[in-house]
Amino acid sequence: MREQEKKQPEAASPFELNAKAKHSKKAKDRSIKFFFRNCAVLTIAILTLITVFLFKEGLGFFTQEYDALVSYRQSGMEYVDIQQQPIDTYVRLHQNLIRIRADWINHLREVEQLSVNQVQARIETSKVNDLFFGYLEASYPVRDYLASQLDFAKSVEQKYFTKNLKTEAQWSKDSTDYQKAIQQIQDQRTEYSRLIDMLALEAKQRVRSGILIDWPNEKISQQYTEFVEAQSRFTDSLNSTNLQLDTYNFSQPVAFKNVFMSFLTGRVWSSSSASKDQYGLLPLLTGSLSISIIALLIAVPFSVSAAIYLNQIAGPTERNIIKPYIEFISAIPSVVIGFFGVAVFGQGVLNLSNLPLLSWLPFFPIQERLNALTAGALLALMATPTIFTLAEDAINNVPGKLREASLAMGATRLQTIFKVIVPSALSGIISAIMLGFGRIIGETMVVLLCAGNRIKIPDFMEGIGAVFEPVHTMTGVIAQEMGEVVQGSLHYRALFMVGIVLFFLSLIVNYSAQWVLRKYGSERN
Amino acid sequence: MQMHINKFTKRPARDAAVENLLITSFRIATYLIVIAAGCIFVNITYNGAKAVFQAEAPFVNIGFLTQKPQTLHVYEPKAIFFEQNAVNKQIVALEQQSEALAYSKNSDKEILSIQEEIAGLKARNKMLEKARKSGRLLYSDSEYQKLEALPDPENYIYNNYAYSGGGIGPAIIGTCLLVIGSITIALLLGVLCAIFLSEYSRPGKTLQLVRLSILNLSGVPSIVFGLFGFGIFVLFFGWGVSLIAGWFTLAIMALPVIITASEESMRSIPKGFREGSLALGASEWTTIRTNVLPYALPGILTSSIMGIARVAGETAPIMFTAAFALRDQLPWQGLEKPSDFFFQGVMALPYHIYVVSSKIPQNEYTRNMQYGTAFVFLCIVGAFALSSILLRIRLRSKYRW
Amino acid sequence: MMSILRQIIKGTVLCTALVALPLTAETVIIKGSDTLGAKLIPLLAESFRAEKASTLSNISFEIAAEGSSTGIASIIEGTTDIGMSSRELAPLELSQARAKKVAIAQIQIARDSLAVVVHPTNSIDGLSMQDIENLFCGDIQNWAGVSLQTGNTSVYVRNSASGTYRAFSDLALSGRDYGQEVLSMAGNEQIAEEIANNTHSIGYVGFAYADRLGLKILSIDGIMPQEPDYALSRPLYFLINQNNFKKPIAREFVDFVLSPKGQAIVESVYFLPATAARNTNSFNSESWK
Repeated sequence: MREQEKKQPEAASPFELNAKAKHSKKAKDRSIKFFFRNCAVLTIAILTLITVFLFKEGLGFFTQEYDALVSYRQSGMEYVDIQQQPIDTYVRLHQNLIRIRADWINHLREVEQLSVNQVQARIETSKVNDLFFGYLEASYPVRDYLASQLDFAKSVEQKYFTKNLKTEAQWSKDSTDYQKAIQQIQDQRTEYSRLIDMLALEAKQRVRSGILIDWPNEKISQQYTEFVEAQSRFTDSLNSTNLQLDTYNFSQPVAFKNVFMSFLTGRVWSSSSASKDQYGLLPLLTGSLSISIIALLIAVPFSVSAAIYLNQIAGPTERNIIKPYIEFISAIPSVVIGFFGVAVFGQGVLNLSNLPLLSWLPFFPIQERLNALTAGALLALMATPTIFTLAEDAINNVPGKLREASLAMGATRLQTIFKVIVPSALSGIISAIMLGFGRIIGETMVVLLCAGNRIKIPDFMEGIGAVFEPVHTMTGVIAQEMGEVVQGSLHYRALFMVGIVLFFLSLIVNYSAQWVLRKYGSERN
Repeated sequence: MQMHINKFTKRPARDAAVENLLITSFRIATYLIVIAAGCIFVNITYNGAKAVFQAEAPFVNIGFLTQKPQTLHVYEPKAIFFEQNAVNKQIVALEQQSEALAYSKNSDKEILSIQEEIAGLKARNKMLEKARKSGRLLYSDSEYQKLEALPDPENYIYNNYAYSGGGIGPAIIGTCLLVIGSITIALLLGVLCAIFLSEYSRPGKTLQLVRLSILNLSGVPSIVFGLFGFGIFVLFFGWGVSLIAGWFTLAIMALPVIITASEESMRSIPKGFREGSLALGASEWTTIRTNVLPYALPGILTSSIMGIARVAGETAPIMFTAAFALRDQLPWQGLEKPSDFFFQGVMALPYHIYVVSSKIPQNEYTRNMQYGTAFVFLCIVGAFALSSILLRIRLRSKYRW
Repeated sequence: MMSILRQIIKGTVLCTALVALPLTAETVIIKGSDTLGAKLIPLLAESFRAEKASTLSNISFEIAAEGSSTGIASIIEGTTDIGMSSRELAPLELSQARAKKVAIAQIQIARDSLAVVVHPTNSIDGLSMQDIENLFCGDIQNWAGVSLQTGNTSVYVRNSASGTYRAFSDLALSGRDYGQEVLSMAGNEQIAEEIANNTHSIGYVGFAYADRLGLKILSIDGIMPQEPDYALSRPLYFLINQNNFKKPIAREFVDFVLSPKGQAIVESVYFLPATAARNTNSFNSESWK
């Protein structure tokens, strides 16, 4: 500043400028401020561009999905899929049957101590095989028939609905070709009914022959009785399918809310399907949330305890070494933690579960080493520095006089911590936990490598065993499928929709963290 | 509770015991974190050092750090190879046998004898391993092409492993380029924006909203930035998978962090500095230039360095915007025009680790490469973090107000 | 002043950057399947460079191996010279290509067998094709449905970006979808690792990846992958845009791969050469020119 004074030309006093210098100085100031403002505006514009672009690409999803749903219905694919439903139920029944077979084999091996050959002799008689294997084989004719129907319906869809292949001639729903194709699909219904009746008959026969089998113990016999009952319920349910097919209307309009429902509550994400591609968010959302919750449950106790310990109990040397050490953990790249974690942690848990010592736990031994627990534990390690640093800052910001006053009143160290300091810092700690949650839910590489990538809602009925199931996450699916999408396709837009959901989720978490800090933090202090 | 107890007497022993227990449990929690992280560090250092350091001078495997990734050609002694195969087959057969016997209860003795056999075979395997490792010949591709005569097929079995020979030079350079470019863009835009937001703008609702939004953007997952970068820079602008797309994607990712950090450090400078300068008649810009920026810049740099570490370690944003699995020319080679420099893809360290660990067959050689890359990466990031911490300590002692 | 200078430098950089120009003619960009890109292509690239070392010293390859679908998408978008694919083109992709005026030619460079593998302690030695379809489509979820073992199956497959995923679905599952319970892995190698560590696992890998400790290769209807009439055998393709294939060096590379020397390298990594037994209805090597 003094140099500036010296540089002033022929000024009357050191603190006065002549009019011209004043004017040019003001102009220069204004231009600098103008420059800065524009830079700021540019930056903020770039940041809002993210939101705008995400929305632009993602919201086109709904119109495209609507078109896809319309063509799904009008080309007959939905009709064929309705016909597929009884077969799916039938296959599930068969899975119950196979479970009975598995129990039988286990009984023979463990309780009766038979060798493999003896088991084979007992269980692979022709009568028994007729039941177990013949049951599924009875469904093959229907399945093959439906596959050919689906091919036909798909060709109808490509001919009349796929915009890229549309011929030059004007196409309308009243065109005779299209009507003929739809009529053909409907006419095949008689063939379908015949095959289904055959299936029901054969299934009944085989089930009846199974009643004559000499079941080894009471439990399996009971299971089989339940199976028989389920089978008869299946036969009854065929009527409702027939009703649905009878009253099916090819040109019924698709409600627009179906599109939202199919994305937000769809239970299947299948991106290169033989039938219609389905983009349901639910399995991915539950996967992300379950991994995040597991990670938080592991990370929060450790991080907050460490923050309390290092700030209140530990001495200065310990603090100066361990604090930077924990902060350095955040610098480890996530890929490294990913592949290291699978080989060491995942494998370790798998080996642990195979120990005969622990086999009394209901869900041990586990099968896959890539599961929600592995991913959750590794994410906990990655989130620990975030939660730790912010919690430690919050605890640090509690005024010293509160602590001194409490100690002066005769409280012990721990009483001070639990009754005075933690409550004062609580808003900061909660905010730290939420920011850690935001970091966890946004992590990509670790979950891509470690979580198993099974796009299915885990079966929470199994209780705590659900943590050992592989799951897929929103971030993982974007990373996995981003490279294969063609710009503007439905799959591309579906990925952008998932991106939008992630974006909003993290914004909400961050805003809440800020809000907690502002509202409850200021009250205390 | 009794109200006539003297508060200065010693507390009952049970309370003290509970307190000690709690304190110990806190201590255990802290040290468990330290140990867990320590396991990872030690594992990576131990395995990675094998690739990066060597016994002879100059003690660092310069080849590993500078060469391009090449296919590794391995010649193993034939006799040992066949014998190991036979031993492995025997082990598998015996293991199957013991599995089959596991159900029957009277065969404990049999199972024990099988286990002993397996243990014996495994010991033999260990000896064979040692012999194999000392007798094998390894050639990276450049050496292999220069070989005058290939080793005798009578005595050696030949195998090749992609990406396992040579080194990671281009990946290191690629990461450095990506980081330098993106941080430059981010610092330029970010600091200028922060100066405006903290110095020039009028406080009010808009400013608070803007600040809050920027802060929240720093928490958005990196894959969303990758998606955005892919959609806009690679597809919409048509730049393809290129260095410049990576720069902008990473810069946008780092921007909120840098703006927030710069604003924080500028706001922590006491108002008195600015007011004194303004009182003496200086303009706003002069005030900022002489009284705020010099004191804020170190703080800005310190916080940015951790941002750099984060940007360097991200795989997701660069996976589809800038990175290639294999690119065997250094970025300044083979350019027709100077602008081509910006439109080429690069290799990057974290992406290289991802490719090597999930796509190519795992064996001891690829593991070497993997851990070596991870170790080098950890060292680079460690250097950044260390410098940030040292800078912070120095500044805290230097600037006190 | 400094900031204005910085602005100017930034502006110049941005201006030069925004001028979109093609890359050097001596670069070959190859994107697509990781079945090819993880083992075979780097080897071929190095041999090609060694052969051309006397005439050209400046050939560089850029390889990205994220899956066949990424290769096809790149050829359609025009962001690569050569695409690698381990499956046939889907009708939707053909129509997308036509919409962008891209004429894709498929050049078969090798054949690959898909081996179905299980953990070595699994008691079965082979499966029928029907069993494989049932297992991978989720119709049978317990090993007791195909053998005398018990326990839930863990099915490891590739992710949907992979050509191997699509090829297997076409060849083995008669076009049906995979079941919901499958675990989608990022690469052949990850599948192999996971199967080797899971006693109840089943999955498929390219035959080049199957020959390792910890995997047991199953026969399908009695036929092993090495035999000529193995059912799950598929061609591996190079994809080029016939309307826009101008780089001479890329052309030479494709010639090299189809030459006897290139095919010898193909065989050395356990792929079958392009002219192997099965007859396909895709382009053969002479007609692509």
